[in-house]
Amino acid sequence: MPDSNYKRLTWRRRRPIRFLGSAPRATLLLGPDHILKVESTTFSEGYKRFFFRDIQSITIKTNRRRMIWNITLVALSALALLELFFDAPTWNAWAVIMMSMATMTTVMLVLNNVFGTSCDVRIQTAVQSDILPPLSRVKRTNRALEHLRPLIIQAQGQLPAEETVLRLRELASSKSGTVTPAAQPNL
Amino acid sequence: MSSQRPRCPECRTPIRESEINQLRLSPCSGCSSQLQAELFPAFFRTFGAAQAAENVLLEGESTCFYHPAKQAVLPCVGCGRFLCSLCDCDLGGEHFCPACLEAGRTKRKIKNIERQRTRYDNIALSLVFIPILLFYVTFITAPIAIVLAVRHWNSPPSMVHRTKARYVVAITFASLQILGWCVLIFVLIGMFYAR
Repeated sequence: MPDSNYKRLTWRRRRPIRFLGSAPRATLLLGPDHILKVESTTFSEGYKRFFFRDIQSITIKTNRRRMIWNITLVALSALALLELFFDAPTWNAWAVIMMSMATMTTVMLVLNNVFGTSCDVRIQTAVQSDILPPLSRVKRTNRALEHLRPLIIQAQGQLPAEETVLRLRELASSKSGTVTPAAQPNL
Repeated sequence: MSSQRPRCPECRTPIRESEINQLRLSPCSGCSSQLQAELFPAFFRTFGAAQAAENVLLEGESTCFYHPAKQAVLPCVGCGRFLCSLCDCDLGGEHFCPACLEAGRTKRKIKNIERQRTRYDNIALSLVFIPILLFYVTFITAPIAIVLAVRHWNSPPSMVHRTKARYVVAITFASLQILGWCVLIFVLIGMFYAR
């Protein structure tokens, strides 16, 4: 049960870094005016706040995590089934273990595909750019964004798509040195 | 305003303008990863230079507590002292003086600037269960677990798990361990005198 000021946006997920043993688990909580990223290790919790008024962009990029898991799980499942096939005449404890392993890996394989495409989500503010590990699947991320989008728009106002393009062109031209008429703000 | 256009996190290629805020995945022009980028108005916000504090012009005008020569613009939410625009620290719409902000950080009075919390409930729980592997260590760790649990009973809990269940489990099992030790000592003394 999270703090009364917060609603849970996602469940906990381990941060995808190399040393899994020391990887903190991250959770996203939704506060009245910010997203709270909680990174928990066994004995401490670290907090990062992304205020709705400061969020500049959210980028979703698909990755190969689902495919890698699929390959691993198929290989494990195939190994277990092969072992089971050779052990079938002598039904013993080892065969039972192999059967459980095959079932478990198959269930995990199905779940891995039910959850959908895996992704990395990056949130950017003026002072930091951070990855949001709990948003690891596109479906889940879009669900979370459906909650977040109205709150960010309420805090910042809405920018029509055409104006975004205009402002980006203006930004590009100001960097390259050419001058174009400034876009009118419409916040 | 942000210094550069949004880029693909993988290959750092700028994302095409036509693909921004489309609310669907589309391939990156550099690495062909599927991307979805959403920009918000804060991306185009410009940051002006910090406002300089005004000098006091009229006698009897409110002045800043920290800069007596500067005009006060608002009071601190924490201590009520008048502040000039230099000393004003805006935190989620609330205005604090630097001293209150620092005190809020160290004494954890201001929730929005807290960056870390220690999970005393997990420490107590670990002190109860991990030493079971070397059971004789529980003679020392069980009392420590109880002291820790009682002392930090009212400490700010985790933001995610706010129950005191871990403290209760730690106190219960640590008490059982102490009871076990008492029984063992009692039995050993009984055996010693029985000889």
